[in-house]
Amino acid sequence: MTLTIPALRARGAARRRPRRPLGLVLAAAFLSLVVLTAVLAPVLAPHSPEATDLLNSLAPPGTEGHWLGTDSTGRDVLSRLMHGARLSLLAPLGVVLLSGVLGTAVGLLAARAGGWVDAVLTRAMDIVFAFPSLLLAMLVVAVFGPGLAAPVCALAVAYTPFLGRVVRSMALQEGARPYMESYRVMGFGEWWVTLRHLLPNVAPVILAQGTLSFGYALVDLASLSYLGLGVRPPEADWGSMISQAQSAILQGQPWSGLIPGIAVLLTVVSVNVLGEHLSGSIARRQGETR
Amino acid sequence: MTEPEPVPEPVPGPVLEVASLVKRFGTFTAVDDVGFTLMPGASLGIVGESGSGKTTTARVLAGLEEPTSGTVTLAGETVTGRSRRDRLRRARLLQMIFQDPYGSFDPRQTIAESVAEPLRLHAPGSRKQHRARAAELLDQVGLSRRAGQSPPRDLSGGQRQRAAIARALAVRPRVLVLDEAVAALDVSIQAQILTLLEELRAGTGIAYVFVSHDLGVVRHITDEVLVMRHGRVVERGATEHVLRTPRHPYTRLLLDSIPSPDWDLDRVARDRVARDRRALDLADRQATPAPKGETTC
Repeated sequence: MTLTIPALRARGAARRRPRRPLGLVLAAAFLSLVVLTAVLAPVLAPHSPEATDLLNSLAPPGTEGHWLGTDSTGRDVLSRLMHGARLSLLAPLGVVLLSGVLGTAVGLLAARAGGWVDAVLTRAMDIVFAFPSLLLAMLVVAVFGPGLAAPVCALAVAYTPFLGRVVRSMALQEGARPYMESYRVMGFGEWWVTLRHLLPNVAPVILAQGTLSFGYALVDLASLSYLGLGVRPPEADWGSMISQAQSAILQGQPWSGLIPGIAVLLTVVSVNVLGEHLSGSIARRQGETR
Repeated sequence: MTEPEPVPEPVPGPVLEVASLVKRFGTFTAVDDVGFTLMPGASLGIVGESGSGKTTTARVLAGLEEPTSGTVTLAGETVTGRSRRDRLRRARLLQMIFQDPYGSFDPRQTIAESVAEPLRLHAPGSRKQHRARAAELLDQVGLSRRAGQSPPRDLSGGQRQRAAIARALAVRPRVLVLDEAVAALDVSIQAQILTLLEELRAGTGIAYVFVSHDLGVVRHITDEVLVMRHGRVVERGATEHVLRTPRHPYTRLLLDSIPSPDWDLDRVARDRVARDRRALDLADRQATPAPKGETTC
């Protein structure tokens, strides 16, 4: 008996927690690494990200003292990458949080108010949806000048319909379930029921959708920086690093541009793997409970 | 709280009065001139096929639908309007049990939390007091403490319906509207729930409006019955009397349709023909210009 119990327990535990897919583990590990280096950049970076060394410009990766080489003004690519990670992660996070709040509010309002409110909000979302997000951001930058605040706000507005539509349809589905009516019969108001019972049941979907839009925001913001509309030098994010490496790429020295490009690519892929996993597990759980 | 709890003071009059209730959806009339009164502690059945308007009637009573015309009077006060005060007053007097006991609960809350939820709105007191009262209510309907700690998905259909009853009783209503409340349960569980409802009625003096298509269940739990068809009341009276000696051909058809040892399909068919040919359609034509198609809701 004493022998079988641990064996049974081990088998039970194994069944309850299935092995996580390798891709997910790698993605999570890579993201943790990126976040960690971003947070600890001042401590970990071997050089100042802004220290130029013209004698040592465009060193290839593997050069002593500059593991990932230097850029056209001799700045250490690794240090710039680490410092750049901060803006490259914070700015998309701002976009996700802002568009998360906006999209949730718009989606819930449309679904619960119905009628003309729903019609107006849905049409408005369609219009924003049809407008290219980068173009919107460029227009806003043209009006308010470069810097991060304007593009972050513009992208947040541009991303609102993605989440707003999902939240609206989920809220409609959840709002049709009988427990919503049972709370109404108890005398609770519409908005109380919406915030206390409907929103928590929709929240996992918001989380998954937010994770996915983080990847898009990162790419869009990098593109803006690449176009010179985002971060202003000497501050650096990954997009502006690629932009500044253009001339070097034409000279046959692609490294200083390729490395931040790879950083963007890997981060976005990891975030998307995580987001897909989240929405997948939510779909499974909802399948179980319904 | 300064206000004393609304103890069911012995009102001489009826606890629920419904007068010439009409509910239209567009051009379709779901409920057509329905009226009845319910005394404290009484039990009224509303029977009919699906689409007969019985569920819409229940939803109007609970305030989930606004009546097109007609009045609902609870304990002497007409309840209309959707303001917070009106909602609360109606909720304290009348509660409703739904057919789907699983869907009636927030899947994220435990049963005890769900039962305590209406107390937050209607009963003054601390969370601790609310928890204690929820435990008391669960005990009253025969649910264990352990069932109270579970999410709704871990409970059986019968347990969930018990929990729904506990939650409805939390505000001490005078009227409980049960919409097909046992239709989704196994027959043996149905009997347990019906017995529980009988006990509660004897113990608290609560009145029931029992909406069902199941005449066997209605015979068991109600004193009086309304038979509805096409939104109208076609027969009413003491349950035993109506079910034993149905006067209306439609009631006879409903009775014949119950499967039983001496079930005679030919008789069902004969009654259906008789109903269609004569009495009802004649009555229909006299009352209104030809009803538009048999739309069900």
